[in-house]
Amino acid sequence: MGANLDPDTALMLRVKEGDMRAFEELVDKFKQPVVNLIHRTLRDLDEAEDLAQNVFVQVFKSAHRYQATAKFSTWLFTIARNLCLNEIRRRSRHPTDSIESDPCDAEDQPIRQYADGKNVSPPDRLLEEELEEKIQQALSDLPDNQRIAILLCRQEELSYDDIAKVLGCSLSATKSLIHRGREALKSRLKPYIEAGTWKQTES
Amino acid sequence: MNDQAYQKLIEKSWRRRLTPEEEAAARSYLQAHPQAETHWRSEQALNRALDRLADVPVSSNFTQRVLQALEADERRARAYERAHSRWRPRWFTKAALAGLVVSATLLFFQQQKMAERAEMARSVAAVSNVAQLPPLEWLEDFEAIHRLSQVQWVDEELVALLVE
Repeated sequence: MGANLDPDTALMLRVKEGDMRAFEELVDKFKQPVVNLIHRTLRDLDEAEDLAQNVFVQVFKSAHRYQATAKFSTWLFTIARNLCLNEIRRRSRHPTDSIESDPCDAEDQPIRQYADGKNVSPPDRLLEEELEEKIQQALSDLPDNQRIAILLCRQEELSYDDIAKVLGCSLSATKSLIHRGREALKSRLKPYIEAGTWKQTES
Repeated sequence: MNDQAYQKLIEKSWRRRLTPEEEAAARSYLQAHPQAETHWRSEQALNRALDRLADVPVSSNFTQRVLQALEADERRARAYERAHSRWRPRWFTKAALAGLVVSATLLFFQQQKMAERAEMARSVAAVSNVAQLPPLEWLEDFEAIHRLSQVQWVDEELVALLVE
């Protein structure tokens, strides 16, 4: 059986048997795409990390239910999507509360340490940040499902079938979600797209 | 290349950069269908825009934090289990006591019912004894016989005189 498994599934099967090393490997590999997805869905860096942490805790706790028939990344992003949607619902009910409701939990945790940022000159950095902010804002204005579909679409390891599984809808409905989301993005970012800003600054 | 194949290429470009062969195929389609050029450009511009989204910074000790969160979670689960097991005997005592009270009440009502039935059986037996009384004609001389039973002593002289 093991010969045909993709490496992530093989790692997850080891996690299922209680192998912490395998779990660490999976966290290291997927922390960036998971934090990216959550941050771009919720637009809050601190909470994105906390929620991403919960995603991996959930992965470990649900490891006994994992079946090798499911692709690990599909399973992982399904958990991430569900937690994001729960958080969006929770925020709409309690707009001021943070995820970390128990202050003792926060005290137990080591302080976050960040590596130095990218080595970009300040004016370029400013322009980049401004453009990113525009894209991020346009993404945030999309309905949750369209936004998540478009973000998942940028994850190279996920096929359209995988994205459909994560979103829990058919392949055609998934493509339609992406198409509608992209059309909305194009219309919101029209001035930048038409001016060719991204083309110019890309070099 | 037909429209369907072109649409497939567009969908591929949503997910990843196209290979040089795929780019060339798209170019040749666009030469044959210049009206699609604007749409193609807007699609590619949006792809570039989305590509610009830089990775969100992730704390370098993220994995360590996940592992610590797991440990904290396990500690909490163990504490809950301990609290739960301490609470369990009290729960059992209460449940046993409640069971005893219910059993005693049921037993009492059962006894009560049995006593009532025994009483009823005795009443039925008494009624059945009344049913065995002598026939009615025997009771015609009841008064005389009753009085006879009230005679305290026998006057033997009077009896002898009567016999003579």
